[in-house]
Amino acid sequence: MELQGRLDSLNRQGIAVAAVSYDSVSVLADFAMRRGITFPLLSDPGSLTIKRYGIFNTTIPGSNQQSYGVPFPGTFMLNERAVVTSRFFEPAYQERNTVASILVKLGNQIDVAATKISSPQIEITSFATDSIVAPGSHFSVVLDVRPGQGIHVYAPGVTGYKPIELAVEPQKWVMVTPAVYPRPEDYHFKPLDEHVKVFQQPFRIVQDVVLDASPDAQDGLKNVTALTLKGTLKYQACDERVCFSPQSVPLAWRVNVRQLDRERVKR
Amino acid sequence: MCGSFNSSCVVAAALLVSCLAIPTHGQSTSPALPDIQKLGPQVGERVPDFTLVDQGGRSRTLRSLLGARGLMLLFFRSADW
Repeated sequence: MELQGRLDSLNRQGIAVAAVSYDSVSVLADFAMRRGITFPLLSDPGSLTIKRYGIFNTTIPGSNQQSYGVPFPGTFMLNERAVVTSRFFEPAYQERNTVASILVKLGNQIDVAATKISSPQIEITSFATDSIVAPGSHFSVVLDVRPGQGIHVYAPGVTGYKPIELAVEPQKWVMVTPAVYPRPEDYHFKPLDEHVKVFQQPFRIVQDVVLDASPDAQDGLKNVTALTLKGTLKYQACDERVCFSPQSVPLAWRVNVRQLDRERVKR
Repeated sequence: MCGSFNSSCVVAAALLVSCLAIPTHGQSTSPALPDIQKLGPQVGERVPDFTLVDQGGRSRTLRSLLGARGLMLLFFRSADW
């Protein structure tokens, strides 16, 4: 389980981890043993807590003995007073935010292999949140961008300059959502008394990627052991005096693909 | 058990068949999916307390699980399939 691998890092940050399902204690004990899980797996017989939390999956009929009682799967991030600070729920049940992708969105540093790219006027650190993904994995590719001294780049939506834009090439079985940029800052260009949205401080672009979990995709990915995602970062950088020529930086992220784990409790 | 033909075996066999027949995707007969983002406690709300037993047989309350900076609380479908 991916989460177990992140447990130390989370605990060091003072964040505990626990997971709830309707499974019996013995099923959870078996699962924890097989997967080497050390954080609490909590048994919710009859799904009473799941119901109390309002996330009981009401679309599954009681006649479906295997699935009845499950929640809509998701994650709550709680502060030390049990107040929700963020939440991650997926519309399709086969899709799951990877823990690393959640941590990145919360602004945490994660321990992954990254590529440093020196590009004119900016420095880019590029990584995928996960090195191994499966059908249904909802992960992210991330660019940490550091503008050089006195440099700014233009935020999405800016006209008159080339705004920064990350585009990931479409690929079979891979679904990409629009990249998420942080809130830009206002830049006042005094000579023209012009206000424009820019990034001057280090900032992070997160592009979410979902590996298709449909039966067709699972079949199509059966013999696929790795995928390379390709993309391009376009931007234009300026300082107080000069605007440099627009740039287009080719990017690539390689992830290993594993099949969905179908192992169940041995009886 | 299932050595001789009896009704419990028939039930078991029927259950097995119905389990095998469950589609893994696109449950056309299920009701419309609610807006999942609106279900359950929202950002800024305190979640309900609980007391649940963990895989080691220990009783845990929400309060006892909270770390110095909080808790990542996951709800997952099942460890059994």
